[in-house]
Amino acid sequence: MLNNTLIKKIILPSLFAVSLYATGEAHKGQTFYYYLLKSKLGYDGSAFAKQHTDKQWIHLFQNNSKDLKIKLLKENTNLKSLLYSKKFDEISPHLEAFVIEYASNKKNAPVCIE
Amino acid sequence: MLRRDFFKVSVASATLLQTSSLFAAKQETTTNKINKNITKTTIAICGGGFAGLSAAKFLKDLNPDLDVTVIEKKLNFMSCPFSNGWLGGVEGVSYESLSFDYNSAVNAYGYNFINETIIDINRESKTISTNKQVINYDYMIMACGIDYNYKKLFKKDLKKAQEALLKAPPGLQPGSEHLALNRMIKNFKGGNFVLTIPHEAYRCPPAPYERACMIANYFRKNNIKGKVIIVDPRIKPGAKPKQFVKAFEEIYPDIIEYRKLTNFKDVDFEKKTITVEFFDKEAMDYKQENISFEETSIIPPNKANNLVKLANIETYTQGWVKLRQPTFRTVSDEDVYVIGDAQGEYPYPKSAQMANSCAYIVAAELTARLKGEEFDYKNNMPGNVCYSMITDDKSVSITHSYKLTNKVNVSSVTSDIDKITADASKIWYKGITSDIFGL
Repeated sequence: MLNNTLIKKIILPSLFAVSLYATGEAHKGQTFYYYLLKSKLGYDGSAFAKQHTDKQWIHLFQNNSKDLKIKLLKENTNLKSLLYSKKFDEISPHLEAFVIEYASNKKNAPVCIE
Repeated sequence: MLRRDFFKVSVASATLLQTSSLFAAKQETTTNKINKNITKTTIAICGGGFAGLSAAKFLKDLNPDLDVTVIEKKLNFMSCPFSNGWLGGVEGVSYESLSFDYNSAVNAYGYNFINETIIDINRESKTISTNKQVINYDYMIMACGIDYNYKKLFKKDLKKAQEALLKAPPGLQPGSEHLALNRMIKNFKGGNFVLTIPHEAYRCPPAPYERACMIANYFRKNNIKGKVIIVDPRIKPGAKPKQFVKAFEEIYPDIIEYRKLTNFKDVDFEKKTITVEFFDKEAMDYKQENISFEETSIIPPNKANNLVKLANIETYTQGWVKLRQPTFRTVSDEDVYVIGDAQGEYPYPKSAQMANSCAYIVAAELTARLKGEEFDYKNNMPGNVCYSMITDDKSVSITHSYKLTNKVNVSSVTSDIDKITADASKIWYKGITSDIFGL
């Protein structure tokens, strides 16, 4: 049985944190990934999103995507100009919505795949 | 039973024309309680679609004495498979050929059938309340299909959601939506017929692309100067992409306009415009545009039918049911199974054949369970085949087979667009409907 302290101090804030990240649109994030990141990283959006759980992605996108930028630069230093551009700031909410929706701990209703 | 046998039996029984009477003879058993006031059943099946009727049939096949009850609110069955062919005016596909009565199935297989609306499900007391009675079950199979999630399109604007359902029918739930679409197509005089597709998962992934082909087919045959515009958030069609793009570009280049990377944003039924966002590759950004329409069909995001919520069954955030792997039992309740389109655990297409195939597995598992026996899910995986009509006499198909390791792995084969596939699709349809309706 959950007590009020547990609900107030841990569960509610974490639910609130996840819900804040609904401002972007996942399908746009998928498009931006495809056109701006895929060729530089070498794998598709689904593989990218599945690298982390939703909570891990939230952490990576905090503080102006500080840890995400470090992570991506390790994979390809040619991403530097994009990652520190106004464009990346604009697409970040969508990218974040995309990876959270398709994170490793999420199940998406399937479609016919080939 | 070996893994492959389930798919073989499911597809073989669906594709053979059933003229012999192994399953068609009326089963007079002690459990034949058709339309009597039933208060207790062993297995209750919520939903009389492809999944529910398949499950009922297979359960009675495996154990004729089993007490099985299907609860369905609709008065008759209408098929979504082949409905686009009817919309496209394909010869031999009529409203009658899509419609079936439940009587034949009930008479053939001897399960109970309650033609009432479910208003409550209480898993603690294991009761299902309809508008007329209370049914007590031991096990429940929820084969309830989908619901539309208009909130994701129009937020709290209920009026617009209702207007969209009436004026821009999605055509994924059989019945009046298809009748409305048929009227819209047959009365079409010219202009744009816009079909919009959600980016989330929805029932029958090839449906809107097939529908576009069939509408274009109808326009061409009847010399209607119309354009079919597909608004799709994806970079390519979500099903059979190469073949559909070929159809759009080579068979219907003058009629179908495929707007990829384009998202539905809003609709104005007075001005008859749809607002979309499309991806501008030059600008590497999304821009807004209004598309005028004479008629439109707007498919909202889908989710599991609200009966799932009524039963307090846990779903994923996108609204599909969570199951205990590798079974079809819900995580919320081991005595409740979910099959068909409502499940969200496995990468199974939301198709009639998949519903039929999974129903067979659940029927076998439940039968084994009732005997106290184990069931080998790993070696009993489902299979799928899905046909899409492209012209009057040509179709394309895809087949899926699955293997269970630490996760479900899928392999698929897609056909060409040809007449052989169109012929096969008719045989498949005849087979599966004959099978579940005992014809």
